[in-house]
Amino acid sequence: MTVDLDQYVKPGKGHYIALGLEGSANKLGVGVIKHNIGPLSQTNRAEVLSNIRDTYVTPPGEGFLPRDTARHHRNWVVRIIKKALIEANIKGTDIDCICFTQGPGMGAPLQSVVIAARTLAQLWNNIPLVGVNHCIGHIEMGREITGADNPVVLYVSGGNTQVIAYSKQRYRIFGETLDIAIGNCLDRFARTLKIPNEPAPGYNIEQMAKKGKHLINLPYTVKGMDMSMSGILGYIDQLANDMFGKQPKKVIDEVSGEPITPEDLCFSLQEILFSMLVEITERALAHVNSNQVLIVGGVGSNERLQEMMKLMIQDRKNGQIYATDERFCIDNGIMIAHAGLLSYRTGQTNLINDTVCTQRFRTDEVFIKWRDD
Amino acid sequence: MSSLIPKATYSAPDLDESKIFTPGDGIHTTDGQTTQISDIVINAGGEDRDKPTEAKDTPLGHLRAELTTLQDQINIFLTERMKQEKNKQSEQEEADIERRILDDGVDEDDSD
Amino acid sequence: MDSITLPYSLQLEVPFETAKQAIIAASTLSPDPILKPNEVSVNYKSDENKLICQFQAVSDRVIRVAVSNVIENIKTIIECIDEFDGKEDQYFN
Repeated sequence: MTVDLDQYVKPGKGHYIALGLEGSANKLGVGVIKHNIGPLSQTNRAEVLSNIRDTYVTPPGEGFLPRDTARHHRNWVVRIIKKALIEANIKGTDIDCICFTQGPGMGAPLQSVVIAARTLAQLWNNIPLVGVNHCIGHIEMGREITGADNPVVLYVSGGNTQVIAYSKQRYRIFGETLDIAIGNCLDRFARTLKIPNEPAPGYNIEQMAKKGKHLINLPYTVKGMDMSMSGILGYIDQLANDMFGKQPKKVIDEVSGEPITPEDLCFSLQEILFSMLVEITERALAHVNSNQVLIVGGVGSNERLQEMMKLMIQDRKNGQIYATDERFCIDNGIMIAHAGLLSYRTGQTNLINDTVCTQRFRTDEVFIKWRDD
Repeated sequence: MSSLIPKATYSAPDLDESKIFTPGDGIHTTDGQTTQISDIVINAGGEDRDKPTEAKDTPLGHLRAELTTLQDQINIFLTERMKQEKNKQSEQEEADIERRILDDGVDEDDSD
Repeated sequence: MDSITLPYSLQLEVPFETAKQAIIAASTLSPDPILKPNEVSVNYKSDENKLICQFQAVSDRVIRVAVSNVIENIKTIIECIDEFDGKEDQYFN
């Protein structure tokens, strides 16, 4: 690698410190990261100085509304920033840049966080601001934590479902959802079943799925390299409403003759969705001739998904799967700090008028200046 | 220590003079009545753990509380005006219906 | 935008401790575009230590949403300034 990552280091300093703010959905995260000068490597790792998160949790059966989510972020952001600074044990003058999520995500929550970023940057002698693509944050943090250098990335969360491969300084989208995101599909089914949103609806579906035994028939909707999930959700929602609605209808498993349970529904939904992801990821691996899969995003912490990917990758020579734990795969501020700092080190800073957030911001729009492989 | 008092001035075509808002005397808090969590959340059994931080005992802390009061005043005033406007509209609609029914001013052209 | 198409108007004045704080508030609010420019316009400026926000809108409903959202943002700005202004050289606890 020949990218010079140290053109913008402060005179006399051997490291960089970045503050990162994330608030594109219902998690508010603030993190502080440190890079020493020189290229990042196994012996020169990024250092997480703090990684604080607060989640806006809604009651069972309810999704998070933009208004209340923005309210959560606004009312917590100053406290969470302070907490992150305290835990990192740094002061304002130590910070090289303030990174914020510029998109994609929900408009009002994104805006409520960038307001704090702009204010703080100006208060502290105009610390440079760096806008970060949320998906790039996930990818770069996943690479840094796991050490996967050039993986096919499966990015699965409440707002996104993408299979991504790096090529010529872009993270290119190989396949993606044609309608709703996988996490959204799982969350919405959790709402149908009225199971709690604490700690996370997808987590609770996963726990229920572990107790499921009977696989019910659901549509399988891979279309080329893309997938569709709204039809599957509609189908299983209808089934759940028939089974647990006002006039409950018993559904029997054809093989065992046993009744289908809510656990069976969770199990079946996960199996069908994850099989589709495995199929698309496998094709992407073949296409780019890679044997590494990196799973990022909130759904990436699902152990069944990791297990299914593992089974697939084991069939490939030197196949390897990489995943991170919930600190890094669920939305967080540290990934924004990390990706933002990489970009800052190759010259990106946003003038204040260029810090407007955008709900749509595609992964492949970002020029990856810090890689040249 | 001079205090920082926010102020708002509103005008509309139907008002002869501008309406001025000031927080006024009294107790001001950051927990505004028009900036609570959505009813949907409370009705679904949720609780609000995201209240704003209390105002610090600093000029800016007081400003944040007074601005919250001002925000409530403006929101309540404008919501009330919106309601009146709606009532006026539905009175108008009612009058229209009355005219149509009692004065049989419509439908006469439709007879074919 | 003129007062004929956007006849409902509101001027909000928020005094800060210093002119610098008022400038920061104005430049923090200014970048974000109004989503429906044909229905509402907002103009931010600072005058000495005062932040002045001028709203013009097509209806009470629209001006209410715009004003309340801007005030929400100003409250974040105030809290941020109150907590962090002049403290770039100190550790927090």
